[in-house]
Amino acid sequence: MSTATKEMKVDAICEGSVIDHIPAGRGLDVMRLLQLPEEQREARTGRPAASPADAPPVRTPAVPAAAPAGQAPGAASPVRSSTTPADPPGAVPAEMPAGRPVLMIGVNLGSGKHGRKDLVKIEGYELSEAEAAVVALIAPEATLSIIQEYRVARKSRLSLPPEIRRYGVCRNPNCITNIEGIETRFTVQQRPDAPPRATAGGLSASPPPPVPVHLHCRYCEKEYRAESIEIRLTR
Amino acid sequence: MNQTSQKISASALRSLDHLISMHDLHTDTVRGILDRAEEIDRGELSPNLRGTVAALLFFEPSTRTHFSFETAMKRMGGETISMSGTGTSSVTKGESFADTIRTFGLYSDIIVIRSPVEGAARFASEIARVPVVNAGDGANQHPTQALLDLYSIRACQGRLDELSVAVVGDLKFGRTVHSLVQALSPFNPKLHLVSPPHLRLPDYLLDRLRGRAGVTEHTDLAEVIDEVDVLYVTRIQRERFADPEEYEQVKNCYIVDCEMLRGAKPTMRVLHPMPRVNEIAPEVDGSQHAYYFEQAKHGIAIRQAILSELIRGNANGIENETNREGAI
Repeated sequence: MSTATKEMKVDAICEGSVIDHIPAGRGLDVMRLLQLPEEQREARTGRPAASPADAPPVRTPAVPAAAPAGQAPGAASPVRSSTTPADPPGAVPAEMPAGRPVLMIGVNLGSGKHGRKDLVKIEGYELSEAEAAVVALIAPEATLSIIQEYRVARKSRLSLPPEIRRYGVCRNPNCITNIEGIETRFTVQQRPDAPPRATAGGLSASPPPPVPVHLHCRYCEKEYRAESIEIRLTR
Repeated sequence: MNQTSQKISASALRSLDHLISMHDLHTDTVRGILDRAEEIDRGELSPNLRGTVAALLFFEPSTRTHFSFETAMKRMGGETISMSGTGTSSVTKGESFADTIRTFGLYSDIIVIRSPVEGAARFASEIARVPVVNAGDGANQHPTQALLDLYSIRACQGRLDELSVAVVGDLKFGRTVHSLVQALSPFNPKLHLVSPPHLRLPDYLLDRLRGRAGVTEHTDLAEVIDEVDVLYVTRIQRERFADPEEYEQVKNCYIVDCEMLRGAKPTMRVLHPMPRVNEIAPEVDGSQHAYYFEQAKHGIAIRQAILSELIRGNANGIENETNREGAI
């Protein structure tokens, strides 16, 4: 299928954020993470969101499925600007409630780089650096594009922070952070899991799994896989 | 101890603000504390803590640890104020943990804390205005015990490097074990972890040992008894089990007696953080292998070394220790 005739799998957005190259199957985790709490639901964009009346939803051809367009595989931080058109004009969902971000997801989209990937779009909300760092915990290879007037205004590859504060909830019920309700602090490490205790034997033809992200609680010193931690964008 | 090691020890110790976890300690700092304790034990160093007060906050029962800290302070001329449990404090009136710590920080020159809550000592160190020593936080860490264990191992084996050590019993909930395996790992040990299957060392700790120590896991102590230099026995802790039936199933799974020790190396020593229940038979007490009472005694010198270093490093104007020759 040529790029020119490829149908968009997820609606284009006028203003907001696009998280691309999420490992296939993790898109829903990112969606869950981005269920922003009430006090953050006010749209946070550099520009006013387009009115639904002005911008009816469309499914339109002419934009690669691996939107946002103009994205170079492996694009690295720091943030770089791009003027490449991301999504065509006139693609805001009509149902978008004013002042509240709308989340859209694409699951198992084709990706030359990873085979399959997920993608999440957030209409009317620019993800902050701190929030993007938290998303990196479950999608460390993902990219973040900030969309303004259907164009990529900024684009960066997510990078793992050395530490996350406040957002994670320690799984250990006997941890002081859960008993006294203090701010959590986790150091972040991306490394392979320990080998299994018993030798499994045999060879596997499947490709090696992605290197997992581990979170080490500063207080109780327990360590968990990042995707197993409940993450709240505010506490 | 030669002059070079004295210099390393002194500079390493100066960087110590609190003692919370073995995870925080550089090997030089560990050696520094052990060397200082050895000097105190030999009578070559007499730290002077006259005019200072240690707050001993024990939110969980303790006998040996509590009294060894108290003894250590008194031997150096310092005083202690103590709280055991929460029955005699404002905690029962609903005072927050943070307020309790801040208040005792105003009354004392150092806080020693034991809590059933994991991370309590770390949090205390962030809010107190004085040094904090972790005397055990839940199933997490017990660094002063680990240091006295290292001190005992060095004392009975003459070295710390490349020893074969079997750690036996409750490796899942035993905080002394968690601290000890981390404390030993920089010294290139061969660690044999002996436990019932569901009391194995947690994965996150095993992962941390990877590449730093040779580790094997066993359920049968007889598999390793002949080759180890140190047998570190721990109690299966009834208080860590929610299900009493589960405790009953494992409480007697390892009992060390003279028969079991028959094939052991003559230089092998048995250590135990105490208190023991029945995991070491009384008949072992008189054997050449028993070292657990000496180990308990070493707790005083180690805690003297820790308390004096932390208080001295934190407060100006406190009279320094003197050695036998009277030099400051």
